[in-house]
Amino acid sequence: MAELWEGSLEKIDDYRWRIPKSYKPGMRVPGIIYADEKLLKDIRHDKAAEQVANVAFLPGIVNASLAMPDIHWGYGFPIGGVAATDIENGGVVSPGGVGFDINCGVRLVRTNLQYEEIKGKKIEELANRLFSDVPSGVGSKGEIRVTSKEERGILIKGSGWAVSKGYGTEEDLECTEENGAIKGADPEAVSERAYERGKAQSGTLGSGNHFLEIQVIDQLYGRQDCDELGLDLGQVVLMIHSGSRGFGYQICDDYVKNMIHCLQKYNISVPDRQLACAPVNSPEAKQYLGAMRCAANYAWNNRQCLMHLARKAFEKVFFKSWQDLGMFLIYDVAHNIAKIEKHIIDGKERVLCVHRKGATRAFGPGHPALPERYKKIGQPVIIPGDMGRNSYLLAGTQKAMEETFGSTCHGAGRLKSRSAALRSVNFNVLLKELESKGIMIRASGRGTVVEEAPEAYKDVNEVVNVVHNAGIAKRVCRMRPLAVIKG
Amino acid sequence: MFDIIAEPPVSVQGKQITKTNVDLKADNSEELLVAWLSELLSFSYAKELIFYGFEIKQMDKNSLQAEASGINTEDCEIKTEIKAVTYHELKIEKTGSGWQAQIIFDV
Repeated sequence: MAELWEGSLEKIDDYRWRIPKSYKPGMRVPGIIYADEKLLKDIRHDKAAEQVANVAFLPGIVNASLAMPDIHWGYGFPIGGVAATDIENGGVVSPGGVGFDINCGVRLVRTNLQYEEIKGKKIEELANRLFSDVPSGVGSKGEIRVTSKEERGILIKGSGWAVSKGYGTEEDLECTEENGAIKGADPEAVSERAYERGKAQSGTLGSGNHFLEIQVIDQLYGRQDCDELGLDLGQVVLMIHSGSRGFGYQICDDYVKNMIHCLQKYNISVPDRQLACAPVNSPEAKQYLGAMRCAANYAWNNRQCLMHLARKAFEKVFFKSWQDLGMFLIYDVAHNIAKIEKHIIDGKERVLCVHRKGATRAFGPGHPALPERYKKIGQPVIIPGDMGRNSYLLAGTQKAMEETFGSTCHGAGRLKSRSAALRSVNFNVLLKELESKGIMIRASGRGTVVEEAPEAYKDVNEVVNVVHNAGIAKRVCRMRPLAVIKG
Repeated sequence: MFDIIAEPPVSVQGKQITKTNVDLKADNSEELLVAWLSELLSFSYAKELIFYGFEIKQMDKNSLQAEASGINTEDCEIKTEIKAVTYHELKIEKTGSGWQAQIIFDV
C-alpha cells in the first residue's frame, strides 16, 4: 500500500476541496480537487494531490490548479488535471501537461440496433468481426496505407483526410471537437523519429487502456436531451477510445527534453522536471504547439479511420449499409490536449492556454465552438468507464465555463497500478466474472485484460456523480458494455 | 527496460542482428540516463527492434558512446508497450556496492 498523502485539504463544499496556496512555497494559486469524501480517500492513497500542488507553480497559472474526481498519479502533472495559464501574463505551456498520448480521446457512435435484436450470437459475431477487422495490440499496423506525402496531409487535415478518402462524411467532422482538425499544426516542427514511430499506425487501436466497445444504453437521465440526440433505452452504441499512438509519444518526448533547457533560459522554477515548460509566446512553445497540433490531428484522423473500419464490420454482419444501421457519430472528444481558448477571468475576457490532461472539454449551451445541433444541450462529453461497469454520455454546462475553464472528468481513473493489477487479478476468474455479466472480451494479449480489470479502476458511477452534483457536467445517459475489443 | 517490453531472447542464434551506435550528450548524469533509455526506446519502435546487448564504449557525467545490438520485433514475444521514459522522481544514488537509479516509465 502506498504512503498516504497527508497534505492540507480545506473543504469548500460537498464536492470541492482546496489545497491552500500556503501548502508549499512557490505555489502561485491554490489547488482545487473535485471529489466527495469517499473518492477523496482513494485520492490520498497516491501522490496525485501533491502533483496538483506542484502544477500550481506554473508561471501565469490562473485561478487554481484543478483536479477532477478521476484524478490519479501521473508523471509530473496528475492525470485528471486542468491548468490554464494567461498568455499575456507570462503563461506557459508544458508538454507534460498534455501527456505522451497527445489527443487520446473517445468517440461515441449511435446505431438503430436494439439490444434485444442482437443479444447472444449476433453480438459474438460482431465482436469477432470487429476484432479481426480493426487492427489492435502493441505496435499494430493498419490496413489503411498512407504515403509519406499523405502523412503530412493528415497532420494538417486531421479527420478531414479520412473523409476525403471516403472514410466518413462531412457530418462526422461537424460532430468532432475542432471539426477533427485543430488549426496551427506545423509538420516542420515534427522530428523524423516521430514520423518513423507513427508510420503505418493510422487506423490502429493500439494497446493499454484503448478499446472499442459495443454498449447498450441502460439508463436515461434527461428525456429531452436523449430525444434530441436520438438515444433511447436498450439502444446499442459503439465507443472508440484511442490516441496518437507512437507519433504523439515521440513528440511529447522530444519537447519535454527541449523544454528542460527552457527552465533556465526563462528563469522558471518547478518542483519536477516533467513539468518543464516555456512561455506560450516563446519560439520553443510555438514549435511545441505546432507539433502537438500535428499529433492531435493524427489522433482525430486515427479515430475517424477506426470508426470507418467499425462501420464496415457492422455492414458485413448485418448486410446493411452503415447509414441504414443509423451509425452516426454523436461526438468525438480529446482528453489529453492544450488549447488556446478565451475565458472570462474576474469579469474580463482573457486568452488562456488550457491544459487538459485526462480531462474533457465540457463547453456549456450556446458556446460558439459548438455545432448548431448541440448549441441547446451543451457539448456532448463522453466518459468511458472500465470494462465491467458503465460508461456515460454527459453534456457541458455553464457552471463548467465559470469554474473549470469548461472542463470535466475523462473516465473512471486508475485505482491500482498495472503491475498491482497483474499481481492480484486472475485472468480466467476475471473472464468468468465478465461473462456472468454478459460481457464478451476479445483481446490481443491476456496481460492487457488483467491490467485493465474493473478492480484496477474507481467506480465511474461515483466519479460522474461528483461532476454532475458539482454542476461541471450533467448526466444524459448511461451505458453498459456488451463486448470489449482490446489491444 | 526491454525485459518489460518483451520476453528476453533465450538465444539470438540464427536471428538477424542489427547493431546501432549511440552518441549522446546531456547536462548531467540523470539527464544522460533518460537520454540513453529514450534513444534506445524510440529507436526500437522506429526500426521495430528489441535490444538485448549493450556495449558502453565511453561514458562520463555528460556524454556516452555505446553500441546496442537488437533483433527484429517479430522474432520476440511482446509483453507490453512503454510509451516513454520520464524525468518524474528521477534519481541516481551511490550505494555501498555501486550506484542505484530510479526511473519511471509511462506504460
